[in-house]
Amino acid sequence: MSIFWIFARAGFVWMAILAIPAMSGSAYAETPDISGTYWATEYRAKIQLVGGSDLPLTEAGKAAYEKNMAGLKDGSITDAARKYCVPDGLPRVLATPYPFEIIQAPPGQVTIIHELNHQVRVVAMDKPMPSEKDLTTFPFYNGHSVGHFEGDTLVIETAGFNEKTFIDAAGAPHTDEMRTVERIRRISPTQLEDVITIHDPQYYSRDWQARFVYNLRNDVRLEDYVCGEPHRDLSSVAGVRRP
Amino acid sequence: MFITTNSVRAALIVSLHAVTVATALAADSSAKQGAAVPDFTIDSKSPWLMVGDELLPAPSGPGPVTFDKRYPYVDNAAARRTGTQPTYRVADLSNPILQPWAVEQMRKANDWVLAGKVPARERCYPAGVPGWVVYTLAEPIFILQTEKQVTMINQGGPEVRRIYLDVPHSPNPKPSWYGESVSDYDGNDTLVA
Repeated sequence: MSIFWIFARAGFVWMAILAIPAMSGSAYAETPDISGTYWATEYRAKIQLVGGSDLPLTEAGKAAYEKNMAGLKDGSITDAARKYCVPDGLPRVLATPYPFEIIQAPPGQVTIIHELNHQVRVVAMDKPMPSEKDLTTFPFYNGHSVGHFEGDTLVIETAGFNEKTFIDAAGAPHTDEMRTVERIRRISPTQLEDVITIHDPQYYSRDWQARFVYNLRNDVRLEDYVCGEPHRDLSSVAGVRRP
Repeated sequence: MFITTNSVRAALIVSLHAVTVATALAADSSAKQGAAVPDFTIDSKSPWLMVGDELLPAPSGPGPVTFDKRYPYVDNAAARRTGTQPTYRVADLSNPILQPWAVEQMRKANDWVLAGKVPARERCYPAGVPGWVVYTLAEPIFILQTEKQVTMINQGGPEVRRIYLDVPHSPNPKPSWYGESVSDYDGNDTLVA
């Protein structure tokens, strides 16, 4: 049987699956609503760990961190996310001083769109994590994400990263074997919390967490963000370095 | 996103057609869609792909500016299909919709391409409107519909365009690559942006 007909038949299977909500009403009506535009009030170039400890670097992690810091200082390593506007990767993108949107659409997906570098994170809510083979073969800057709700909390698991990004703007390293789990929830009617757990045993001797809090800002519209052009005024965000 | 062969792409088209029908059935019966709101979603992993890579002519009138027939335009998808080399566009400056000053501007762009240089399109600048609709190259467009906003994502780039529903234009919109788009639905099948 050719792959053509496998897909063609799959279409009719999908048709049957999609007809289920048509008969039973929308399952998505019960999904917690965390959609909106969010904006941090504080920016830190160096990631802050929950509990306040230093990064639990292994010997290999220390060597990679020192290499990154030295290279960023002498110019032998480029911060591509800032110079070429490629995606920041996780967890660095969570420290963004620019606003972002969470859109709970289309059905079966949560889409997180950042103004910074117009990064789009696609969180599949109705599919399993791709196979290890696919994660290895197709590594992404922001990885491959799958999610589900636990009560009012969106839990996002991400894997399949490339090694082109840093943990933070200071150059903390990660490998392509990093896996993350984010727990995202509203902690008040106007605030969103994202607690991310980093698992990367080659560079970190234990799993560790960082926490980010954003204000709901549905009064803000995201702007075009174009590499090399002036961007929005960030004077409301503490910690942003002024030119 | 792991699909690479033409046979799979062709199969997907057949498959998507079936899903389109199913989605339409689901949308018609689902209370969350509300009344008379068209649903442009196929499913979360099935985007829209441009048919070709050129602005298509309207039913009447002179039509949009396309390529100069002396320099045939071969888009990436056509090049892959035919095993030929893709080309950059050389605009047809004889189109009567063009003002004289626009012809001179476009002549500079034509000369740039004919001199073997790379046009601005390849520098990942935003496409603006209406260039957005033919900027897709071989990349798909995803449409995210919510109550207050339609978000269109071109995977190439990626580029993101937002269309705000049921609100007026701002008194003095800040100039931007995509401008400020406001919209409402016209009937049960059309988004007017």
